[in-house]
Amino acid sequence: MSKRRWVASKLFAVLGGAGLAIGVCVPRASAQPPPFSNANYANRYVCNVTSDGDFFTGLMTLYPNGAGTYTKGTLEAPISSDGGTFSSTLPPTQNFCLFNLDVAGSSYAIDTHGNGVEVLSWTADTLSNNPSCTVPFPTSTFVMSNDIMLRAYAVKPSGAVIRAEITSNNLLNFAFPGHGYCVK
Amino acid sequence: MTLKRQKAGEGFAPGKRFRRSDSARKRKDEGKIMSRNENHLSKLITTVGVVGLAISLCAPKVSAGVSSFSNANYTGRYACSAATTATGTTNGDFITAVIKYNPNGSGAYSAGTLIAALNDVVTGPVSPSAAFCIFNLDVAASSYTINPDGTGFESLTWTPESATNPPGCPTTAFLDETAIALRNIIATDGSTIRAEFSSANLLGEDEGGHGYCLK
Repeated sequence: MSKRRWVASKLFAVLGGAGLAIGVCVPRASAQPPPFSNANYANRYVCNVTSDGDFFTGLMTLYPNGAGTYTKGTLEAPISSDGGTFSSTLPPTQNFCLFNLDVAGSSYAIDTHGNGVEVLSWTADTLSNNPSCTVPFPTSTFVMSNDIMLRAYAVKPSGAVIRAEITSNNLLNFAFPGHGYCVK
Repeated sequence: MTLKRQKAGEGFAPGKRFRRSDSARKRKDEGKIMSRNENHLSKLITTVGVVGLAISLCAPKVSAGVSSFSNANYTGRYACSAATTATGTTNGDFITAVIKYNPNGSGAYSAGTLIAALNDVVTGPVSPSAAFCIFNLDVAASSYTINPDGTGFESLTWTPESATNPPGCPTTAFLDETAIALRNIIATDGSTIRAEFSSANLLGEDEGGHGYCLK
């Protein structure tokens, strides 16, 4: 009986030790902000945005650098927005209008509460876009102003948040407010 | 220590015929003390271990991401929510649908179903038992591509299940195309747990829409 108890005790100890090792080694969420800073908005985010009753929608991929600017970014918007026409004979690349982020003209600033402003300068990829993209999006360059709020939940070990909520003043350069979110 | 043991009846009983020597008794006492110490140590290790196990199970974990995406990161079963306007309207979420589909990790799909509210296309009350229109994915005419940066496109051909759909549902197939971006939170099989999309032709309405797909 005593021997069995000893063996069981050893088994528990080994299992527990392994558990402790796993617990220590497995990456986990770091300490939660606040305070926030630009560093909490970093690396890659995919953003789903919409405005004016889903009449205008877009999919952004943003790469904030954790220091207030971006390394790159893209925005895809359906050509069927606002008067444009979807063509079932065209591949998807020709039914979406691509905009590239002008990183030199774009920036963001996050305050200690996790609220921030984004200025995103977009340029239409006129070389690859369907020429009809000028129907829904007549301006080839435009600046979007967003206000963003970072989540404080499950922050990555790097300090980057996993999600931010967006309200946009002029999504896709239209004079309508928009909204959405960015996720890791 | 000896006194305590004697009180507990564990020591040498008085009047016994055979008595051990003092040194033997001392060795036995030391052995018992060592055994007790080992037992305490074992209990301590067990306690620490159990606590460690609990920590390892309860600590919030983050899965590793990938540095480069491919079609293989979009595989398995996804449940999607989609919404858009309808032609001639400016009201949001005029058309809504849920989608279940199965990208195969190689740029095609093994199955898919789209269920849209009948009120997307007709107005007025409808019977609860006949309130939705079902479309099946034409897998032979559907495909997707994922770029190394996790963005990509889908071509989805949906065919109405005309035999069972209620009156008023669309009766013709439609092609929807989406721009998608995979999240960089990856399940153990290498698939993303969520994708965001923007659509160009949900239900053939020639209007922009949007949504997301979840594992």
